[in-house]
Amino acid sequence: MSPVRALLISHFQAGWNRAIREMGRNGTVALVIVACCAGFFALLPITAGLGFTGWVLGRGIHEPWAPAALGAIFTATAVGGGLLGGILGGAKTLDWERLRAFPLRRGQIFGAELVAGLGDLLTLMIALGLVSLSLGLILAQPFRTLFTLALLLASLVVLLTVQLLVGGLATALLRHLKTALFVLLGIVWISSVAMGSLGPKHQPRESRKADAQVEVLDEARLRALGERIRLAAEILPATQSAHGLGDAGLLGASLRQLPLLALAGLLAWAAAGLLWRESVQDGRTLTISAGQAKLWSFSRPAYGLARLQWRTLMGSMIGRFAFLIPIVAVVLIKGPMGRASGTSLWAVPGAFIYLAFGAAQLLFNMFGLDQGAVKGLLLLPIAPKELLYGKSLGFGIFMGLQGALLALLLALFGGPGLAPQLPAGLLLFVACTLAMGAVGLWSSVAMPRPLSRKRLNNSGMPLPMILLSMGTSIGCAALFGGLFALLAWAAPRWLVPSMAAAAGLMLLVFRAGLEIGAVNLVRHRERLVERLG
Amino acid sequence: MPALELDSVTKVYGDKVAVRELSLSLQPGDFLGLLGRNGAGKSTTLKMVTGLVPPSAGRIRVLGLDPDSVEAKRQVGAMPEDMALLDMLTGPQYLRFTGRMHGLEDAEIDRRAAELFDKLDLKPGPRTLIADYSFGMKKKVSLSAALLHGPRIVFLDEPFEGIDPVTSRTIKDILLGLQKRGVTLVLTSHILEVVEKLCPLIAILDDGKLKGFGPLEELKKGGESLEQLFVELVGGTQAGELSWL
Repeated sequence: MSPVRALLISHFQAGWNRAIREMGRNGTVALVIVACCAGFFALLPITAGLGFTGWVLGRGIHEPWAPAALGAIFTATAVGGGLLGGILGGAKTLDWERLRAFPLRRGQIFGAELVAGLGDLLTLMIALGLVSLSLGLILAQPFRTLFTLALLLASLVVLLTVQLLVGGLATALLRHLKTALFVLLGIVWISSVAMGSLGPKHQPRESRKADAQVEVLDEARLRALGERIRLAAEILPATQSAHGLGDAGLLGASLRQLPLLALAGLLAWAAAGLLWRESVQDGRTLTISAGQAKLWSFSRPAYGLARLQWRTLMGSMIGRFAFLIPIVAVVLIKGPMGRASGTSLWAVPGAFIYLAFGAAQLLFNMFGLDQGAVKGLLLLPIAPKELLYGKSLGFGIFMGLQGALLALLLALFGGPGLAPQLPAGLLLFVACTLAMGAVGLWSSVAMPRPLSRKRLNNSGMPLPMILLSMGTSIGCAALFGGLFALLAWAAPRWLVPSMAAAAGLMLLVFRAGLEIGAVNLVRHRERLVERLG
Repeated sequence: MPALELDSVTKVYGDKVAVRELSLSLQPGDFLGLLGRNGAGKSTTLKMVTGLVPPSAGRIRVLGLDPDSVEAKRQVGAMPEDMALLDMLTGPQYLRFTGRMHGLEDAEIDRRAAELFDKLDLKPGPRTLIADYSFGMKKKVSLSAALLHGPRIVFLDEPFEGIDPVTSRTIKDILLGLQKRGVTLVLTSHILEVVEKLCPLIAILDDGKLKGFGPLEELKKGGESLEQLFVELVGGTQAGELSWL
């Protein structure tokens, strides 16, 4: 058995075993069936559409626009899909730090990593889309199958490598959270200025009429625009590769494949180097600042536990990443969603609800980052309620700072329309966080699973946890978000008092949740010890 | 009142019986060596007596208390199988944290921590997290945390594993000193020579069952070594060379 195959088999076997440990065999089989059904229905139209597109473009490969269109589709799917996968956390899958101990070459681990990257559902769907596009092309141009396969292979390598590079860069950036925050704040500011200048403005009627006239483009201008896009697409290596499908000579066709293959190779080489360096950094001794190394003193056990929880959260990649979510929320509001109507009704509640949901994975699995140290916590001479209260306080500080950061960013960049709603938005955020925290007090003991502190890719949530997370999120969004939008529209004066009442009510629910959670912790502490220890 | 009392304790994980009908009693000042092969049920027993997992059947009392109660935990020092350290803290921070949780004053914690670190020859970098300590250093921190609050009963899972011979000697002296002051000690170890020299009481577990329990001298009636006694009770030795070497 080759080392790459052995790595992949052990990786997927470990994933399967972990799923069975967390959900039982029946639960895992059910999850696979549900995922297959959902995947089938989601994939069917996409693959059929892309297959048909491939066939149409393949039939017209000698037309000047066909190779450009193919190049653009292949490039957008591979690079865009890789970017999306990397941002959403579908980065490094294998444990390079441990694999470095084996007699394996860097290329072998990287090769296995690329294939293992297909285990991410989104990436798998994009890859299947590329495969069906290529199948359509092969059906249309069967004598050029070899070149189509080269185009497909290079595009898949680009997709998986971009995903790894983006994920790796995000991880590297998150090591220095302050730098990441400054970089992203810069992006927000630039986006804010750019979007502000592009955004819809109140214009006089005459001006709007003039604009409407300008927007009516004649056929000649459309053709010129299309030609400019085609010429731009011609620069893409994937377009050159697609040209090879229509070339009469085999030598010329082969030469046209080289730029894309070279680019894919170069990207792969860069990604392998970056990940190798990352794995070396993961293994090095880390020191903390003198301020962080100060000895703690606290008047009540819960306060010490809160500080410990804060340290644990900020020592993890997922915890640090959470502080980028407020920035992402503002970018979304100012950017892609800024043109939607009714911004005053949904922008503030939407941003705060999005922020609260970003922490669902942590709130619903409070002990996940403690891993084996959970035994150390359970050995402490403190009441279970105090333990849960202390951890909740730590989460409260963590969430509170994120909420404050979002409020600050919205006040600075959100524009004058949003600022008056911020107090109510913060109260909505408190209500959502408390509601999710109350559910988390139960789920953290009922369905614990270890979370890696060194990786962003912690997305392997068990199905019951996914359903619980979705249910709570939708429920909170509908209840509190709906109430917010309704009051903002119908009775703005009552917005703050009503949101304060909702937050107060959720505080009472959370306090009751603490009592129940403490009883649950005593009864099921074994589950924590066995699953996390 | 016994320091530790287990009455027909059984622990079941799914289909597997990890500990079967285990009964034993220790008085204050007893020093028990809990022996057994891998998977014999030693660590499960320690998890039960420290309150980390409840027994499936039977009854456990630590100093007359439920082992999961706050009152019992105040009087227990424990070093679990994998140490279970809060490894996002530095060693001194960890001891300060544990000491505060046990209600000690800062100055007293710092004094005791300095003495423990000195005795155990533990000199961590002031800004290095426990996560980056060596295995032996983690053991020493874990042992320090278990002893910091002056417990009346101590449970140690493999305390000598990964420890250098000089520190090992110091730990033995510390444990013997604790025993003299009436502290009850239970330790597990695969280093039978150490257990033979240190523990007057021995319990041998095999497949979750208690195969032998009592003073070491009484168990080795024929004057054989602890190793011979252990192999005799547990069995299963395999001789021979590896086929490919």
